[in-house]
Amino acid sequence: MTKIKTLASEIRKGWAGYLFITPGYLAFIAFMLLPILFAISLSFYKATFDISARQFTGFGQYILLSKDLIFKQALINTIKYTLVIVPLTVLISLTVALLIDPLGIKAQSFFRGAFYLPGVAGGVVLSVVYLWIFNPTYGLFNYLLGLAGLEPILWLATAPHSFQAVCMVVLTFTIGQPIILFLAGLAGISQDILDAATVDGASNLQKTFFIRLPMLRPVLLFVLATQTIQVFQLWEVIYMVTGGGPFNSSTSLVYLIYQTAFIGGNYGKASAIGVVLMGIIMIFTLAQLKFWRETDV
Amino acid sequence: MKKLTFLFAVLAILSILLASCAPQATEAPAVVEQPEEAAEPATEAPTSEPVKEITITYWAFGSEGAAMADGTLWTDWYAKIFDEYEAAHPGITIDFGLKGYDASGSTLVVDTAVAAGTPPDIYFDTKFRVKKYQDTNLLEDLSPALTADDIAVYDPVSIEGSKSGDMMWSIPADGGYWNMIVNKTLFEKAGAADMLPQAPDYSWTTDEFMAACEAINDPGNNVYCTAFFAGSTSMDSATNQWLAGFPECKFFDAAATQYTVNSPACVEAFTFMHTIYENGYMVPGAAGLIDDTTDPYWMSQQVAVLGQGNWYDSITKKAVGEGAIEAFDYIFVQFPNKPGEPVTPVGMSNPDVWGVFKQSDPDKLQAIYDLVNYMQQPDIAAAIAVGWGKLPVRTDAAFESDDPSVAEPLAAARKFGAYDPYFVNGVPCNYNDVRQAWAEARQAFWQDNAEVQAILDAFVERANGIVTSCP
Repeated sequence: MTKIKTLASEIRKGWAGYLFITPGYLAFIAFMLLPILFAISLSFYKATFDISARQFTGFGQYILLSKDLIFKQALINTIKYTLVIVPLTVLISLTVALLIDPLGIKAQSFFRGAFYLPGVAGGVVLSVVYLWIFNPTYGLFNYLLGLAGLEPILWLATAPHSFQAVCMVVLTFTIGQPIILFLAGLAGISQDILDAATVDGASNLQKTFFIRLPMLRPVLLFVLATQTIQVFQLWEVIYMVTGGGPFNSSTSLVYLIYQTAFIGGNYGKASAIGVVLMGIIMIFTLAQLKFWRETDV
Repeated sequence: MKKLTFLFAVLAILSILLASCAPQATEAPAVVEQPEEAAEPATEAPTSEPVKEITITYWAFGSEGAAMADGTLWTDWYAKIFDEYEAAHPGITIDFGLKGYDASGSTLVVDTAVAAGTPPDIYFDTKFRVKKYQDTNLLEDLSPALTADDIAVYDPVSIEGSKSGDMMWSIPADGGYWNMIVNKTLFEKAGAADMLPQAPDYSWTTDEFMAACEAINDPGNNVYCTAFFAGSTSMDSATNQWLAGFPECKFFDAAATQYTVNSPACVEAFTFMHTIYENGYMVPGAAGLIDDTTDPYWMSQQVAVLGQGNWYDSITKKAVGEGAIEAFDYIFVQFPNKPGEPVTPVGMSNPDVWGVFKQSDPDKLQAIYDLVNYMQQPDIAAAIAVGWGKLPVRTDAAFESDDPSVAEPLAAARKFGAYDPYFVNGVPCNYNDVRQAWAEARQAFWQDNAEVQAILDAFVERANGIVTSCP
């Protein structure tokens, strides 16, 4: 009771502030919290287009998922996408940032814009472009392979290559933002520290490994967290480029949710997949938060 | 950790509360009992009795601004038809809307309306999109909307394809009669024009087809005999049409309860198709290609023979008209039949159908039957068919065309019969899941060393499992 009184007192004191944040919270409740809760509740039902005629199945959908081979493949693919795309994004963007950093302002601006541009174009536009690049007979990649005397690859038609194709498209637009963030992080490193290292005889490589990279750790962790969530939600590239195929080799959990709900009309099962995905993302995020706290960054 | 436990507990409680607050599962609307014999649809509106006001919601698949083949806006055309109908039927108001089109070809607008409990009364769309509502038991039986005379004039394939058992869950307006299209110019350049099917039937056997492929195929110069695609569920009929040349191959049994596409006849059909792949007679990478990918191959004359002739005809005419490509000669032929077998029937793709969502008011249901009967009359149905660039499935529909891409498939269908390559007919439910499974099977099929029997067995097992889980 005392707590409620304290809370009421706090609200009275800062009513103007609470008034300002109310629209945001209402929107959050209406468009995020309630749909999430409804999806959680729907995952316990067998529900089709006519949701009012849904049947309660308890954990039935989750039991079905545990036996569903396509769900398992989508789950494995999603984890594989994360394990491939996130480290590559960090590696490439960090390398590019380190290479751009010493350049003059104009050159740096040019490269920043150039690498950020694909991100502005978006996954759908890039996917359309890549569909031409991956074309089996007149695509750019197979043309280059031909110049090198190599056999053409059926990028979107064979199992290992379709996964690689999706990774390539995604990498094109995921590296832009981390480059900007890493450059900002590098700009924040005091020149005095680098000068002191130079005086002590440190080479450029040593300065990178022993000064720049450790000092970039907060940015690095932020990039890792955001990229992981982004890759877990991978959908539009798969929709545009491979349709999850061939035979589900490139599908992801979010794409499976789309297929299950909006193509198959199985809203109960789709909600169950969504809840599983939410759980996975939550575990990853909590683990990262814990790591942040423990490393005191 | 305590905070986290508290958070999860709050979430769980809120979920349960929300589940109990949301509209409860209700019984499906009562099906209106139909008379034993279909009543003759009323064509005259009563004038002496008090008129009951009835509003019928009529949605057709499409987007605002969509036009018929001759450029007339669908909204204008429907407005004229419905104005006339309303004038002749006092008390009836038709609330029309073009709904549901988006790039993925989904029906989210209708799905959302169904989920909200406010579906349209009548929904007009391609059969496979309407079928999913039948799968979930949301549609009325439309048998009372047609007279025996009406049914007698329909292409039997189209009318049978609109039924599940005895229940007529839809009424077809049109269908795309599609045979093969052949780039004659390419064959002439290769000195192989005499290998093409000849008038009047334009038929060829599988052996003749393979010989023609051998003559025209030139991968070194990027010329392929034909193309398939399996990258998405879209246009699975493009593959299924080939089965028409193997009449013993049935996608499912006569009772429509079990898939049978792994039968010896079907294995023979797919083995034949895989021979095209093994010989390199087709654009590589079929498992990753979608229907749209095939268009540039045809337009740039890199592929000589394709199914869905009408489609490639339409895009070629458009591109030539715009000066985007140079004109070339092409002809329409039948899909190859096995030696000694009858000429292959013409594939019927994407029939547009009327479906009616379940009603609780018998008077309104009767009014809907009357309206559907009015719409399926030959003149109106033919206008809809032409508007969509398809062909009427009522054989009494006044329809003439000098365009070979239209007249020849229709004439061939009248002569050799029609074949519905969509395996949606009569399947109890879960069509979209089966279709997805079929796309995956086709993706596995278009690979090196594909084991045809094993792939078809796996598909049949999966598809029958999906059917078994029907409500």
